[in-house]
Amino acid sequence: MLSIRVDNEKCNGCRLCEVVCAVAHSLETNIAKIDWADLPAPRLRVEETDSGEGYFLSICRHCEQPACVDGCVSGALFVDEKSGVVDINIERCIGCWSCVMECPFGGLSLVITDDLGHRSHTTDGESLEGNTHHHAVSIKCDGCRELSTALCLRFCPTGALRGEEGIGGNGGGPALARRLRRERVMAQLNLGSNRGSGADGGDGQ
Amino acid sequence: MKRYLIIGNGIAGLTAVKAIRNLDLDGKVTVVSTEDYPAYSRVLLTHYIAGHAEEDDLFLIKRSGYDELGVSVVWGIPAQGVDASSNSVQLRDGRRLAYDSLLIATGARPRFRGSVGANDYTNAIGLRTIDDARTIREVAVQGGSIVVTGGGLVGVKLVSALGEAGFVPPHLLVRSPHLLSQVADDEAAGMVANQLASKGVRLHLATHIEEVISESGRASGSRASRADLPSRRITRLRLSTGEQLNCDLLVMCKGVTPATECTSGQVEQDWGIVVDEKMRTNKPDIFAVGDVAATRDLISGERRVSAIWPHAVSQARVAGINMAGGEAAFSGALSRNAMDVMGLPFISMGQVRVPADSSYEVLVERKPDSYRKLVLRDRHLVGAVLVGNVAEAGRLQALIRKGEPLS
Repeated sequence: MLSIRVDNEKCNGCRLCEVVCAVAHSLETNIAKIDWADLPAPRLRVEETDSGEGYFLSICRHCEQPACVDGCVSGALFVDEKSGVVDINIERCIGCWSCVMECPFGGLSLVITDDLGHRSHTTDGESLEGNTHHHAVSIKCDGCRELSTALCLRFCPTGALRGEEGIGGNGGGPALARRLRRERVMAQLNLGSNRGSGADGGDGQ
Repeated sequence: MKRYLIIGNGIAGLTAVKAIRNLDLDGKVTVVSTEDYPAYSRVLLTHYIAGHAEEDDLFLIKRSGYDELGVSVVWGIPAQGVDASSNSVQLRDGRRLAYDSLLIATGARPRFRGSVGANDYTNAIGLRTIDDARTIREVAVQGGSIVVTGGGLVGVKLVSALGEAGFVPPHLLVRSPHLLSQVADDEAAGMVANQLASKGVRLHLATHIEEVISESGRASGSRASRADLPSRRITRLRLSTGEQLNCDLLVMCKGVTPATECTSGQVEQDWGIVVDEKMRTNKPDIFAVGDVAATRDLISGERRVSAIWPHAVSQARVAGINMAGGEAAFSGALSRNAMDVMGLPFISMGQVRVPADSSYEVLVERKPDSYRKLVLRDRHLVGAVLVGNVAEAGRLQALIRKGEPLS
């Protein structure tokens, strides 16, 4: 089961996690073609502490009994039983802010759907086009589930972000095409495309 | 084989059923559902009116889902009375159901006050059920004039929804000079009021209904012949300011009353049904959760009904576990509410009004588009109001719960 651990003391504010997250959730599969000025919002945030002496990370921990899921009034947030990923079906999200109020880690934020970029984020693989009546929907870490490992965990150079265990059980069917497409991104980021794939999960580190 | 009986089929009833089934696959579980619908999200009703959600999206489970959970449901029949001495519940149709463990999750009903009674007029309703929401949407779609009374969360969310969907701008009547007097300070409430007014909602603060002008007229369709239904229809309202409003539908959003009728005289009650941290009433086999239950407040230490969704979920899980023989405790109530007021996010939690008392300290940040206020008592965070920028809400809630002094 996926579980993300954060050690803010180790964060040096490099923001590589934000970049790889945005890239992983962009529509562009060819990294050379990425419009860096037009990346979607990352699903985690690095912020300076008020004192300016350190940083803290806002990212979903993929709790076992998540407060955001308990607080979700629309049935959009759910725990994927196979992988343990706390995920959202944004088609059902009505932008009510309840999850933002409930998560003690600041792991969710609301974005205008246009800023979301990555259409395949919906759990059923549908595009966002039918979603025009929502002005804002909640976004959060999806564990980069199609990549079998969360990219931020792979790239964090200081150990501020750690995965406790890998993510198992990739979705099949429509998820597969997306996974392959995104594995191309991973390959271009010099990660190789075959790590940690398959039902027994990645190593998460 | 243990017999579980759950009265109420909202998010609380459904959550309790799942918690029971998690521990006891063999027990006989029966749900009594007053409405003939699978459990649905009442909090979504204003979003349905706004067009954010379709009617199908309201449901938390399909009818067939109850079969999959191995639960039998009594559809569309309210519980009449609990008899704790014989461990049974009488239904409105005369049937009697026996239980070993009973959960009261009957929720609450809209409070009617002042010049409009609950059954006085065909076109005065609350907003609590799918049927209420459908009625409001139908009148709105037909271009009717909707008057909402009550400046609490439901009233604000309703006029926000009607405005956002582009219907005829609704009127909002609020007796107090401020909106949201229970959950916001005056400054935050003022921002919400400005937001609503700037988007066309017609706000009438410090105003109440002076006179209801009505005509004879029964409801149409299948309801027409029922003698127990009201026979008069509101046409106009005369306000305390002297102004008169056309009114096709009056929606009462003046708070709710716990639906405790069926347990009357059987379990201890004050503001609601009194429960301990296991959600057990003073009768060992009877539990109560959600909008009907009175629990200890984390900030004030006093017992109160804090009728919010996340409490319904966590209390119901606790009750279900305890009913099925497990061990769980509710951590205490922390009132909190989030909403989007036509694009303006608003979250408040804990204590937001500050008494003139030197043990309190208030920190305020004002920016052009946002207002954030923190309330500290003896250096402990006890409340927060966030308007415009609510990103820190979850972390602040965690700080309130932690109960450690801030440096």
